[in-house]
Amino acid sequence: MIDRRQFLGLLGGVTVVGFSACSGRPGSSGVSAPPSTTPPDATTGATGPSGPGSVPPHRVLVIVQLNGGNDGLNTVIPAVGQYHDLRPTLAIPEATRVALSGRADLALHPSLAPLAARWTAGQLAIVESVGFPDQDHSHFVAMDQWWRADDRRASNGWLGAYLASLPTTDPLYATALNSSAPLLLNPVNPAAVVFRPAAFGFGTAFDDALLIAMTDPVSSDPLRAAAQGALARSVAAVHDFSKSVAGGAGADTAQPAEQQREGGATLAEGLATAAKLITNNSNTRIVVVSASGFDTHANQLVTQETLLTDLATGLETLMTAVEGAGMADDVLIVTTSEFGRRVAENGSGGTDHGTGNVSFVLGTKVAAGVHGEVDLTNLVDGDLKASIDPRTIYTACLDWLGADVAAVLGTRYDDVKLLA
Amino acid sequence: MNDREAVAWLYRRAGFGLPADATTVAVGRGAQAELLRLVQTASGPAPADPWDDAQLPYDPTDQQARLYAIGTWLSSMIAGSDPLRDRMAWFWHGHFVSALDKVRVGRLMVDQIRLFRTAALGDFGSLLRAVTIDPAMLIYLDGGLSTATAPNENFGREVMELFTLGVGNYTEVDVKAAARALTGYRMRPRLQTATFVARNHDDRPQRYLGVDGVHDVDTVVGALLAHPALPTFIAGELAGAMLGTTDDSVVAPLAEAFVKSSFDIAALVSATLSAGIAGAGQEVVLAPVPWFVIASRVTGATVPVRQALAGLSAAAQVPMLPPNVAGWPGGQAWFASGTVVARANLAMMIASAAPVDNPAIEAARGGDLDALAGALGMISPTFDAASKKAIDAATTPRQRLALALISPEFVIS
Repeated sequence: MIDRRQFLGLLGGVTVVGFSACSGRPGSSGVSAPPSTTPPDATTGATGPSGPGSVPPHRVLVIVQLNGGNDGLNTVIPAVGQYHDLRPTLAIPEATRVALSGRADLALHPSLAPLAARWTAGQLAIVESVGFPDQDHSHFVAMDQWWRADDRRASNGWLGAYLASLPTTDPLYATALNSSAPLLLNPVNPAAVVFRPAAFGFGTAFDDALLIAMTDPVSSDPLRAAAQGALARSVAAVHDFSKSVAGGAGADTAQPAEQQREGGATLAEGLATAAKLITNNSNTRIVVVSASGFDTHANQLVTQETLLTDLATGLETLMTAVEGAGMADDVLIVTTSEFGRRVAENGSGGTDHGTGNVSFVLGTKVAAGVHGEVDLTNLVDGDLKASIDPRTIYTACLDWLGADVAAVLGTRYDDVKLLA
Repeated sequence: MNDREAVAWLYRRAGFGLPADATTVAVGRGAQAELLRLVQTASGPAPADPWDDAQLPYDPTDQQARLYAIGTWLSSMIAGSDPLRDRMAWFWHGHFVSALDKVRVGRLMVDQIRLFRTAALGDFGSLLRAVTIDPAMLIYLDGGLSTATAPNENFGREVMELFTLGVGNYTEVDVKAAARALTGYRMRPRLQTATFVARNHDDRPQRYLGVDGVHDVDTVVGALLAHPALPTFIAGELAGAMLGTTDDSVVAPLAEAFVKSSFDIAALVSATLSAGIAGAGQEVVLAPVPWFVIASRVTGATVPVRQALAGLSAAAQVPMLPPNVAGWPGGQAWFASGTVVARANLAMMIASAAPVDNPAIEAARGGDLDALAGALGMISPTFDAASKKAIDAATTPRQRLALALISPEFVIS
């Protein structure tokens, strides 16, 4: 019997390319991105002349999404009186904060101690007051702005637009862990989506030949054809994933499997999976890890402590793994969250939806330091004024990947340089 | 659509599918008559409640009670005799979202689903009012902690953005006004019922959505019902789910019917399904739960609840555990690879559990694929070439059935 790998080797290229072509529908092209005339080579990661100089091959981008709106003010804490005044019960006590060497005006949440060492090592950029200028406090409008790079007409995610400009990619080239990642959405090179690594495999009753047979010939109905394409890619993704992340990332912790919602896996679990994937599968270039729970309208102190501990644990696991694999210079990690929270606490032990927020950019090649500032004396309706456009971070990400930034975002956003 | 397709369509969108023998009977009566029957049944007294309260203690630490709450609902959808009621309860769960991981107490989520089952086709205003002060909702969107001195905006915002009006139809001032007018209810997972504590309520009249004097739950609901965006928003949500389209030309007459009926959900549902029978509908990708329920019903399979829920969890859709307050995403989001893989594994569980004399298994055994399509209650009378090829190549009837269940023709339409 032909084995899984040989079979996919025979069919994968032809079938998947076929689907890529047919599942692209009118009006579903990139975020104002015409296909690049000199696309990067998806196999080697080498870039064409459209990129900013020459980018080393095998570069990896990891985006960590803190869904629900992380409270940035209790993540990177400003040492000013207004902070205490507006947060009588939620202010993090000075004694427990984690110091940032050389920055007496800022400190980290106590759960983020591992990041202080990265700061000292010059591997951490802190970007303050990140946010789009016109925010309306809706989670879904805000997430949509982030995913589409604030272009409402875009049918693809901003990284999806980049993926769509590439030739057919490896099935795990872009992988979303824990949750789907609409920022990767595109009809040409869809991302693999792995909710729970331990469950990402076909039972023995199916052999790949039967599943692949379902995908050819391609239906004339676009939606059915898209379903066939998804099956073909899933078969290939499972094959590669099981080699890279053997046995998954360990047991799910908080809830039994049957009571896990989508996105229920933690950032620590997702980032541990990302570490295995990146270090074992050289074809993986973009990983998005998401977790929710950051919408802390109530009981914020306990909830955020747990979530930031997960984040710090996961980031340290990932960075240690890539160092161990000699890939430290090849991996850039960025954290995002759709908005920050109201500066004043709300009285339910939580904070309501705000605007400006903090992002971390991590890696050996970042422009370490603090970019932008938090100004608690200049609030807009009780919210921090967002002063750094998220597309500044996207520009750095796309530069990192060697992409043509202007083709994806329409223009570059580089008021702040985040890469060294 | 011909008569058979119209009946199959109706039961897939307004219920959880129909096996072949029942389809034959229903075709004899006609799709419009079936629609009337479905609506009448779902508007009448609710059938026996599937949950046993003795197994649902008010205990936020009781994991077993959570499993029982979810599993019993899933099983009752599969076994149910009032398909439109069950389908609408599922719809309202995805619309007025609460989630068990925050609510924690199985009983409280069950009580909310009971509300959806009871009020599934009733008066929308009454449902909206009941949901607003429902204990599980008060926990999920923090209304149960919101007081006059410290109003919490969570519910105040989402009730407009996601439950009634949609983005762009209210201001930040309205969010704050709603939050203040709804203060005073006290609820948390350790409590069994919500109580209204007058001293925690801000009773000062507010101007809310252009209406003066809004100060409590009744006046908030009144202002929402008076808002011109509400009928279109609700009709659009239902059309998206049932018809697979939110096109203005389809939704506008439905919204009008909703207004004319003074927000009678049964009238809106009837108008929506009639439009669908008349051909207004588009394709719909079945989400994992309705797909699993339909597949289980038409094959007669009983997959053990724990196994079923583990599979659905891998597919990213467990009843009572929506990912966030917007509910589950729909459409091609269900082509995510994790869902594709989990659906295949669930299909094999279902096929393995189907009784030997089920017509679908018999058709799969005989290799008659058109009979298989009919037995599965598919709208499409047959399979596409690729699915036919794969099903023919499978070596066992159960493999064939499983492939049929994951075919685009079964999953979509």
